[in-house]
Amino acid sequence: MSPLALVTAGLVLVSVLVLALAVAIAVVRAVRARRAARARAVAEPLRPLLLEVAVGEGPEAEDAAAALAALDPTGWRSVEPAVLAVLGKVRGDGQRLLVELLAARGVVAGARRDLTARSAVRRATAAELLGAAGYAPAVAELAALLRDGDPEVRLVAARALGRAGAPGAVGTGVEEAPRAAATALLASLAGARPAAPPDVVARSLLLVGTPAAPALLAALAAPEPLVRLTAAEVLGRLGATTAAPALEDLVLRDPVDAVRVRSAAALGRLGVPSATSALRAATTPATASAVRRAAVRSLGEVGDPSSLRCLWGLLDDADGGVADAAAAALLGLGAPGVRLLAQVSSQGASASAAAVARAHEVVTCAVAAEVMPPAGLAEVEAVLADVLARASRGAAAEVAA
Amino acid sequence: MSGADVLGLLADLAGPLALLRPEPSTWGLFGHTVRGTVVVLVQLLAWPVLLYVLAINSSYLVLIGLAGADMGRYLRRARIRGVEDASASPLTQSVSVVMPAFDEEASVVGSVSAMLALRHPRHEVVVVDDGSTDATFALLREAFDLVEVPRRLPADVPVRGAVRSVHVPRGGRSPLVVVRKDNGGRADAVNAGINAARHELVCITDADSVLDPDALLTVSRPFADDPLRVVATGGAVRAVNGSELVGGRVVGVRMPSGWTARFQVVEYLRAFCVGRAGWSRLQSLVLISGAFGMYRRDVLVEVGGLDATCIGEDFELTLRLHRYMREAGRDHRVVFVPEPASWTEVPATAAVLARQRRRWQRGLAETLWRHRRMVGNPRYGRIGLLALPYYVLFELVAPVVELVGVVLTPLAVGLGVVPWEAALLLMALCYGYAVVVTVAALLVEELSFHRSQRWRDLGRGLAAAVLENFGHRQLTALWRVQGLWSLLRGQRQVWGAMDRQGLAAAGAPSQVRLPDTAQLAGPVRRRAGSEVLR
Repeated sequence: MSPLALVTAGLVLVSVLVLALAVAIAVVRAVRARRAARARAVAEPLRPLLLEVAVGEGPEAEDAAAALAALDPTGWRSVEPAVLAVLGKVRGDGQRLLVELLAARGVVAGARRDLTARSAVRRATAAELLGAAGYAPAVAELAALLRDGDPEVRLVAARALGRAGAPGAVGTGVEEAPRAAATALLASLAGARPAAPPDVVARSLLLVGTPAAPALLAALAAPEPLVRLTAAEVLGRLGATTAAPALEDLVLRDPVDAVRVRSAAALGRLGVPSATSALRAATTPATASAVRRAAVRSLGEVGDPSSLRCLWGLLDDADGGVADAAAAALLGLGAPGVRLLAQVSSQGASASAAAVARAHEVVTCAVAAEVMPPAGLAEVEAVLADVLARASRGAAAEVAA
Repeated sequence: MSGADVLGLLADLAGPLALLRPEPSTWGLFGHTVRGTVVVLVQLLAWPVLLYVLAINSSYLVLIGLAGADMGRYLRRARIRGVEDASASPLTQSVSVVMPAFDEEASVVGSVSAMLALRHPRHEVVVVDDGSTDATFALLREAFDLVEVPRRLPADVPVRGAVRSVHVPRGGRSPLVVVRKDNGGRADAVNAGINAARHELVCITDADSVLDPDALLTVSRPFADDPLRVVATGGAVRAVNGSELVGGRVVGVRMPSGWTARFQVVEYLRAFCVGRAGWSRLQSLVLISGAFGMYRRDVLVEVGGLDATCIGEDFELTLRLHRYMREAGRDHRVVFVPEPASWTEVPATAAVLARQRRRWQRGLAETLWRHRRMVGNPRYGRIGLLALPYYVLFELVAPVVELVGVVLTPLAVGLGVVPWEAALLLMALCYGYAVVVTVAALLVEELSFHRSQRWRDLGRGLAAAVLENFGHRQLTALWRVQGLWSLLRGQRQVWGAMDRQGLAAAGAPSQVRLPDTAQLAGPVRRRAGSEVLR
């Protein structure tokens, strides 16, 4: 073959390729548009039925569910994506009816089968569906999936457990589901590497809610820092005040700083005044900076007057982050904290230059941005009036002298 | 490439076809006659250029294949991604969107409103007014009822232009902070924004970028999925020209009216296919676009933020992140999210485009030079052994080779060294190969996100894939070579400045100013920092 013929052949090949690719694009687009139009045409009349089921009220909902359950395969195929899309967005009777519908159409059984499919995407998709359905009977299978070889599948399983173990879940075994889900989720964080991202696990534990509290309390004593840390975080967000003593203990004594930080933050969320002394103890300079900052912030959130003095002393701390947090915490304490800040800022209270500057900054920022509550504003005005009065008295005395 | 293709194949064919039969006398006259020189050059460059062309085009096809696989993987997981969950979770990592603005009065209020309205449970918007000379700040103050607060910003990363004031909306109505500072260029403004950012993740974007409503959620997702390793993520950037915008959101994707912009629409599609998704699949992503990237704030602070002395500051930052993490022995990942998240306005005129391409190429070269130690160095893993050598070989050098081909081929035809029929045939073949690459990228887009719906626009896209080879590609190569040239010219001055930097190290801040940056009279205006298509 001569080189010229080779070039010509190449040119023909390239042209054919370009044409083939262009045709492929057009075909893909046309097929997609046609499919979408056909699905719309079938699904559109069925949409009111689906809405009726999702609302879940009265015999109409039951009838609509029965109608959808009796659809022929083509009709069901076109409406199924819409059903799956609303799943996880409705609660109560609507959710129950949808899950019953999916069970009647064999979708739930199919998903449970798919939990052991070879394709990771299929396993994950099945777990996602069961989670969105809030299907309590699947908790044990989802828990087993936390040991899956594929990280994505484990992640989806952790997310699904939160919904299947949540109080609103449906199906048999609803009573034991939350505890089982919480235990499995916490166990997934143990081990050298967590089976699922800790924030996903924490979110799921939050969804499980109060039933998870006993497992979470026990987890505060777990040997793995990640488990203690996550349990502390979730307990704080759940408002589990019974956990306060154990959290105080962690703030003061845990060997891992990250755990101490989360425990301090959790105590702040719980807002239990009895935690103030432990939090105050965690602000001493010997403690790690991050722990001190978290403790200071939490002191502001707890809002106990006994922390005023401690926070005042931290306004000129060598650690700028701690000092800033102390100023913000005082502001958060409301009227007494603002009064103290205003006094420091106007140099009425004996304080260092750094403390004065910091107090001034936080007060003026809050006043300028108009985020100061009225009570705080009144305090600032009172202090300023006092300062002015003293200044004028001093001037008068000077004049008299 | 395509011009060089021609050159290579011509010479390859020359002997057997007896197309090229240099007179014996011209051989000895190297440099004496133009014809002789052309003949020698053609003979010398033939094989290397041919191999180069084969390699570069095949590499594009491989990368497009990888990108297709990556996008397929991404799309198959659409239902299990959990974006809904993230938008409602109180544990979702909070994001500070940093938006540098210089003389953006035309669009700034709309952009800020759109960014405040992005879906995310906890995000703030930090606008850095980089010494604007127009009404940018006045408009912001009026629209968001801003009040000045005496807030000091931490000096976590160095900033050159002094921060003048900090403003927040009255009554804390929206999570917005506006920082006013002296002009110092985009990178410097971003650094000031990093200092003002209070959240764990920092999203760096542009004042003229249009983000999709879910952009923050999709691009922050990898941080949540792999919190210990992911340090940076980038989203796909598309050209917004001509598209329909409502309330700062893209609601209808359309082709722009001018061809310059159309070529770039196609280029962006190809570039993000080849350059990002493909490389991300190889876990060797070295470039996150300045128009939309997300970083862990603590890591940004550790590496010292953006380098304001570098033109290609985004490429430089990504590379520095890799280098820093590798040298510290920390396992890390830089992830590309193929979902189109950000839309940017591309230059509609050749003059602006020329400036942009010169700057990009220069930034690329400058950054590669700065981190030359990483190139081919096994210590930096795939980045050092695969991605960077590729960038040097096929990004840095490509425009030079292409330009040589573009100049030599007509010369060879004109001087009768090569018959025009053969030249034309080969040229068609080479540009045809380039069209195959582009149309393959269009197919990947059609199979994956298919954001453009109109048939008319598909036709225009295909036409642009063909027509860009007539002029646009050659001009781009020329501009890129000009960018390289400006760097080579500037190099001497930089060295001189570096001497002074050593002397001044103890006192005044360094005065390193690169000629291209200095050329921009008055305030430094640079948007979308550096970027390299592909």
